[in-house]
Amino acid sequence: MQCSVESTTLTYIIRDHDRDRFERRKKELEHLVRKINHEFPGCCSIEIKDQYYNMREKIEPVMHVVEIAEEAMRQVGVTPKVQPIRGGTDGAQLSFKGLPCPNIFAGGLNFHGRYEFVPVQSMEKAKDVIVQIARLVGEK
Amino acid sequence: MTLVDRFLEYVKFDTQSDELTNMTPSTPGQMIFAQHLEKELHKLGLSDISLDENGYLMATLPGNISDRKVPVVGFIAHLDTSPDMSGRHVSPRIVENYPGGDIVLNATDGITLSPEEFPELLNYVGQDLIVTDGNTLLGADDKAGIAEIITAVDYLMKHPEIKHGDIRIAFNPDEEIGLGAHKFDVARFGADWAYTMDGGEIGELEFENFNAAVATVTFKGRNVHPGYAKHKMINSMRIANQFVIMLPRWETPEHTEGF
Repeated sequence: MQCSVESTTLTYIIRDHDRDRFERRKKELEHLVRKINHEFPGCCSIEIKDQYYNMREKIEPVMHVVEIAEEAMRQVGVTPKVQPIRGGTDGAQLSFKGLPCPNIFAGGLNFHGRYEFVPVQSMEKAKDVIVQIARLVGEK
Repeated sequence: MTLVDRFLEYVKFDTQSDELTNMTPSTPGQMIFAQHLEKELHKLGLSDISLDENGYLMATLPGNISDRKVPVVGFIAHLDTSPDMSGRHVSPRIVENYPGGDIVLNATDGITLSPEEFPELLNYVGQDLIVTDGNTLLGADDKAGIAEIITAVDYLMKHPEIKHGDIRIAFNPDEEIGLGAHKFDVARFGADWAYTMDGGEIGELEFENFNAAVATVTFKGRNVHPGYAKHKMINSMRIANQFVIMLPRWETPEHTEGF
């Protein structure tokens, strides 16, 4: 928020995993702007810029990419934990550039700060998963 | 070289990225690290090694299956560490066979990694944990990913009995400032699909992320001396406040989780 009597700017980030709901959220903001302008004509304006999209729509047509990773994990004794990222990832942008690209654990915890740590055994398993994916793709 | 040796070597490179430099890579340390890795990949004997001027390092482990066509799979990790905390003079320590309880990271400054604040620690009792000295981040995000990928291709080279197709690997700069994919040449990489080795805890597998947009809402007002303002002043903050009140209060990060 930046404000003075003359001018106030509000900056929002809009996030949703579902594309339709995401589009509805943006429409809702535009609707509220029209409401404000109804009462205070010409006072309010909005600019919305898309930043990135959910890679799911690019991965779903090639689900074997995820299935191979799950199978590789199980074969090296790791239980796959499929979860949505509440944020963005390089892999999402790459998926929209034509390279389907899910994300696999590297093993660390408490990223971005002094409490970050990584169990050696998790790193070893991640390495095993890579080897196993290479082997599985070679077998198919 | 073992996986752990590699990791401990990589975290010595200061590769903190910076949102404000408008360069690629955003900081010179990332290019120095990329050049170091380039040499290591040459020593390992990988093919098609290339490091471009933007700091994108790519290489191929050629396949050993010749009688049929096998898809090309890629593995990707990022060179930089978060702008949120220093990655200079990282001084890691291995806590072997973690017995549970507090880990004193820095006795002088009283910095402790405790299961009271980080209960996930207790999932790793009996394992060997690499921790910081409390002054910097560690850089497992994503140097663990780089060490894992290089160690895996090293392993595959030493075990030709494992049959595989071409494996492409790539290390990119500036993931932490949201620019890791911007100058990533997908055609040059030439994989059918790939995986980023950039998740957190063991088992994590992710193929869903947010749809994201940024909205800027501007309100214009009219300032008049407060003593003469009746029916003249339009206070843009008041109108903005009216807008904020109309927003759905519970659809915010502190009230939502999952999908």
